[in-house]
Amino acid sequence: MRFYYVYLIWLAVTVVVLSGCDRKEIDFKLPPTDPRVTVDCRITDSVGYWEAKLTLTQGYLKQVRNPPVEGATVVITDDAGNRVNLIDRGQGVYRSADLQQGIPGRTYNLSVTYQSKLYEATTKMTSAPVVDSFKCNLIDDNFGFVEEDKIWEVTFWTWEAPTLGDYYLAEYRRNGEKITSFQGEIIYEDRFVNGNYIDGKNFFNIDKINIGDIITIDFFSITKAEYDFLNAVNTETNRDGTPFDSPPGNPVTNISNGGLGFFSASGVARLSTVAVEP
Amino acid sequence: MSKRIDKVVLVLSIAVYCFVNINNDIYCQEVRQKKINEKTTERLSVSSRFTVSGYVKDAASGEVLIGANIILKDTKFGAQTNEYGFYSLTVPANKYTVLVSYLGYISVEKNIDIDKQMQLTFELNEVSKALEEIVIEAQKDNKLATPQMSVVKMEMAEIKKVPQLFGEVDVLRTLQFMPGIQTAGEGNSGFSVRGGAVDQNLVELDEATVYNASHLMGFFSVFNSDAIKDLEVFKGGIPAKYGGRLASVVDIRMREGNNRKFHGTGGLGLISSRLMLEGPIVKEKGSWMISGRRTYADLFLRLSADPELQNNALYFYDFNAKANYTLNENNRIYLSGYFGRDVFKFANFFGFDWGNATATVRWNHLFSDKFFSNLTFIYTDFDYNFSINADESGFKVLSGIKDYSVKGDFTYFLSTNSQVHLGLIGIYHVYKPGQVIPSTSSFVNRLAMPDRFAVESAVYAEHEYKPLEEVTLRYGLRYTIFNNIGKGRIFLYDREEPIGENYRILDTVEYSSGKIYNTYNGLEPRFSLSYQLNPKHSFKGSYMRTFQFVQQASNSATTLPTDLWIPADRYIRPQIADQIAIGWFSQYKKDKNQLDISVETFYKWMQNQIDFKDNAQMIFNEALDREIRTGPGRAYGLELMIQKNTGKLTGWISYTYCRTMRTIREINNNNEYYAKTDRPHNVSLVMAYQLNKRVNISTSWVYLSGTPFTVPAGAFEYRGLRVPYYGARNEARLPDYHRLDVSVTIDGKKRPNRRFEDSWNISIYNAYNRSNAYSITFKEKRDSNGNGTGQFIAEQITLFKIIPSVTWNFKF
Repeated sequence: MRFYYVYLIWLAVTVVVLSGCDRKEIDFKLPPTDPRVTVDCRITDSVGYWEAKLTLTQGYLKQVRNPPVEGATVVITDDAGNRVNLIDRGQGVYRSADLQQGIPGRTYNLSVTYQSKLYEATTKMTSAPVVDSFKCNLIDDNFGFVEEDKIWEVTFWTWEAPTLGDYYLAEYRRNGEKITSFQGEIIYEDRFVNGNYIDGKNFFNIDKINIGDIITIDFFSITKAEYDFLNAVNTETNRDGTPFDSPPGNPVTNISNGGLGFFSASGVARLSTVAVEP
Repeated sequence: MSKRIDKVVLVLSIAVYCFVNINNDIYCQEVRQKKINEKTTERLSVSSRFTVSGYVKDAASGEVLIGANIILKDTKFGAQTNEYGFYSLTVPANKYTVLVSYLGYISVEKNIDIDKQMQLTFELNEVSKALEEIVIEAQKDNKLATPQMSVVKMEMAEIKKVPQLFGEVDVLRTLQFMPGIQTAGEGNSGFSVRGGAVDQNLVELDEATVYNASHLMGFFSVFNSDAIKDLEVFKGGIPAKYGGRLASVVDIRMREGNNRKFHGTGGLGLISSRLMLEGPIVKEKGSWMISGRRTYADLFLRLSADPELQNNALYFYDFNAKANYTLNENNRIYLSGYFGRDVFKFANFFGFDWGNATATVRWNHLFSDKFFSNLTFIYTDFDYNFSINADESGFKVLSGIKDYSVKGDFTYFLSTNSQVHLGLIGIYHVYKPGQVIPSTSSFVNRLAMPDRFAVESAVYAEHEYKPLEEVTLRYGLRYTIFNNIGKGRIFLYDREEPIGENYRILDTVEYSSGKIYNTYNGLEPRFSLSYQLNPKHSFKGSYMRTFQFVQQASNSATTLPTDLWIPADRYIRPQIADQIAIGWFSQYKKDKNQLDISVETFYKWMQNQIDFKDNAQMIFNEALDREIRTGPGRAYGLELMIQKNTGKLTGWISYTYCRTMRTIREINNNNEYYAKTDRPHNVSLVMAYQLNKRVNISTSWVYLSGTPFTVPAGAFEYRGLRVPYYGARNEARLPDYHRLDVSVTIDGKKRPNRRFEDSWNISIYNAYNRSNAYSITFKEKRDSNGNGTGQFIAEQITLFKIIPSVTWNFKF
C-alpha cells in the first residue's frame, strides 16, 4: 500500500512537470521598435457615432499603454459620395460630429493622414446576421473536476445562412458594460455548420454574471479578412509557451502603407436577455 | 546554383549509368582484380574459384547477426553479413584460416579447406561481462575499409546503458547523442539530421515506414526496447536501395526470437511495463517473438471513487510480433508486425486516439550461393480519431495515411571484390486528409476532404567494388517516379507558382479512379568511396542526391499526431537534396583498448524546402497548397567523434558544428534565415563503466546551442489588447541547453541453477537540475484567477527538471 502512495506522489509530480508548471519570469532584451500607426475602427449599420482609435506601436515589454496618435486627419468616405470627418477628441480617439449609419453593400474608405503619411483601408459593409433568440443560463461545469464550479452558458436558436463563408463576431455586455473576461474576441465561422438550424447549442461560456443581469449581445457579420485578423489576434494574445502553441504569425491588416490594426464595416444584430437559473 | 548541381548530377548519372551497363567494363575490372589477387596472395592457384556462403548467428538464440565480419586471415579476402545475416565469399581454392567477428561477441577462428562450393554457418557467443577484457584483441573490424560513411549503428545493449528519461529506454532519444543528429526539442523523439527537418527522416521498422514515431505528444518513441534488435542511421552516402526522404534513413530491426529455447524478458517501470516472450517454432528452423508494453497511469484513475474520473483515460500501448521460418537452405520467410496506440479520453466530452500499424512479410530466396534475393510486402498505417461529445450531439474527426508496398532486392556476389545490388520498389500511398462525421443529432455538417492517392516507384542498381587493395567504391543510381493518381480533385490557380496571398482558384478538376494526373521523376545518383591509407587510417568521400515527395504540415512546436502528411502535387514540387561529405577515420589499438576516431564534414544543397505562411490554416483546408511557401535551403557542418567500444569503460564524445538555413519566398522578406533546427554547437558525452560483475554506472552529458525563435518586433493595440507583431524570422535564440543524466544498473545475484535473472536500474534525468528553456513566451502576466494584470513579461518554460526514476528488469 505504501508503494501505491509513493507512486501516486510520483505521478502527481510527473503531471506537474508535464503540464509545464515550471514557469518563471526572465529578463529578455527585445530588439528596438519603430513606432507604427495602428488603426482600430469599426463602423456599423446601426445608428451611432463613428469612432476610430489611433495609437502608435511600442516595444512589447513596455509597461505603459501604447501612445496615442495626435493631430491626424481621419476621413471616412463611401462609394455614394458621402464624406465624414472624424475629429480628434484626444487620447487617440477620433469621433464623428454627428450620428451616422452605414448601409450594407456600400464600400467604405478610411483615410488617416499622420505626419504627412497616408494610411488607407477600404471595405464593403456586410449585412446584419439573423439570430432568433439566445439565452444565458447558469449551469454546472461539466468537466467534473471541480464540483462546485458553475458557469454561464450562452445558447442560440437560429438558422445559419445557407451560403458558405459567413463569419461572425460577438460582443457581450453586462448591464451595458463590455464583458472582457475572455482574452480576445469571440468569433465564429460557418465552415462546419453551414445552413443548419442551430438548436439551442452552446457556443460560449462566460463568467462574472449575476442572476438578473441584463446581457446584451452584438452579433456582427464580418468579412473573412477580418475573421482571419481576429483569429490571429486571439492566437497572438493567448500564447502559452506549451508544445501546442502554433508558430508566431502576424495578423494581416487591411491598413495600407505599413499601418497596423483593422478597419471594418459590419451589419449588426443586437439582442438582450436576462440571466436566469434554469 | 541548383542548375549547376543539376548539370553535375546529370554528368555523374551518365557516368554511373555507363559504368553499370557496360558489361565489358565489369569484365575488365574482374580481370584486373584477378591480377591483383595473384600478386598479393602467393599460394593461389588461379585455376579454380569456389564460393563459401552461409549465415552468422548468435549461438545462444540462433538469431542472425547483421554486419558481422568474415575474414580469411593473411589474405585480403573478406565479407560482411547483410541484413539477413547472409554472406557470400568467392575465393581461389586453398587452405584458409577464417576469422568471424562481431562487436560484443567472441570471435571465432577456424581452419578450412576451400576446395568446393561450401555452406558454412558460424555461431558466436556473446561476451559476458567477466570475459569482456580478454576478447578485444580478436575484434577486427573492417569499418575503415567499407565505403559507407556517415552511418551510426547502435546495438540495443549499447542503448540500454545510456541513462533514460523516466527510465524508459528510447532508441530515438538515445540516437540524439550521436554527432549530426539533434533533438527537435526537450524530451522530443523527433530529431533533425544534418540540418534537415524532422519530416525528412525515413523511420523504418522492419522496412515499414513509421509515419508518426512518437507517443504522448513526442515524449516517447513507439519503439519498445525489448522488441528491437539494432538500428542503423544513414546521414549521408545513403545506399541506393533507400529513398523517399531527404536527410536520413533510420533502419530499425526487430528481434527475430530465439530459435533454440523459450525465453522472456520484461520490466516494471514507473511509466510502463513490458514483457517480451520468444521461442522456437520448430527448433533451429523457426522462431517467434511477441512483445507488449503499456503505460498504466490511468489504471489508478479507475481506482478512484469518482465516476467522472473513472471515465478518463491517458495511456499508450505497443505490440510487436515477429516470426521466421526456414523452409529449406534456400528459402526463409519472415513475418513481422507492429501495432500501437495512444488513447486520451476526457469523460464523454473529448476523446483523442492515434497510432501506427505496420506489417511486413519477407521472403529470402537464394538463387545460388552467389545470388541472394529478398521479396518484401509492406503495409503501414497511421491514423487518428478525434471526438467531441461522444454522445448523439457531437462529432468525430478521422484522418490518416496508409501505404501498401512491394519490394524486390537482389544481391549478386560477383566476386570477393565485387557485389551488385539491384532492386524494384512500388508504393501505393493513400492520404486521408480528414473527414468530420457528425453524430445523429449533431448540428455539425458532414465534411470530407477527398482522399488522395499516389504511386511512388523506383528501380536501383548499385555496384560495390574494390578495384585496388586499398580502395573500395560503391556507386549506384536510383530512378524514382512519383505519380499522383485519381480518384482526385485538384484546384487550378491563376498562377503557376503557389505564392501570394490572394491567388484565386480558377478551376476545379476531377480525375477518375486510376488516372495519372501529375508525374515527377528523376535520377538519384549515389556514390561512396573509401581509401585506406594503412591499417589505422582511411579517407572516405560520398555524394548523394535524394528526393522527397511528401511533407508534414506541422502547426505546433512539437510532433503532434494531427500534423498532416501532404503529398507532392501540381503546385507542391518534390524536395531535392544534394549532399557531399568527406571524412577521416582512424582506429587506434593499445593493449586491450580500441579507439575509433572520425571526422566528417558535409555540405547540403536543398531545393523546394517547405515553410508555411503566417497563420496558416492546415486543418480541413482543401486548398492547402496556398498555405505553403517554398524555397531553397542549405546546411553544412563538421562532426567529430571519439568512440571506445571495448574495455570496462565504454562510450563516446562527439562534437557537431552545423548550420542550416532557408530562403523561402514571402517569408522573412525573402531573406535567408536560420531554420528551427539550427543549433550550431552540439556536444555529447556518453560513458558507461562496469564497476564490477554486477554494477554498471553510466552517465551522459549534452550541450546544445539554443533554438532560434521569432520574437516580437513590437506590439500594437487593438480593442484594448496588446498584440505582438513580428519582424525577422528566428532572429533570437533560447539560452543554451545542457543536461547531465546518470544511471546505475545493479544485476541481481546469479544462481547457477536458475534461469531467472533480474536487475534494477536507477536513473536521474537532469541531475544538476538545470532549468533549460523549452520556450520563451511574451505575454501578459495573469493573476491567480487568470485575469490580466496589465504587466507584460517574458516567461520561460522548463519542461523537465530533475527526474529520478527506477525500473526493475528481468529475464528468464
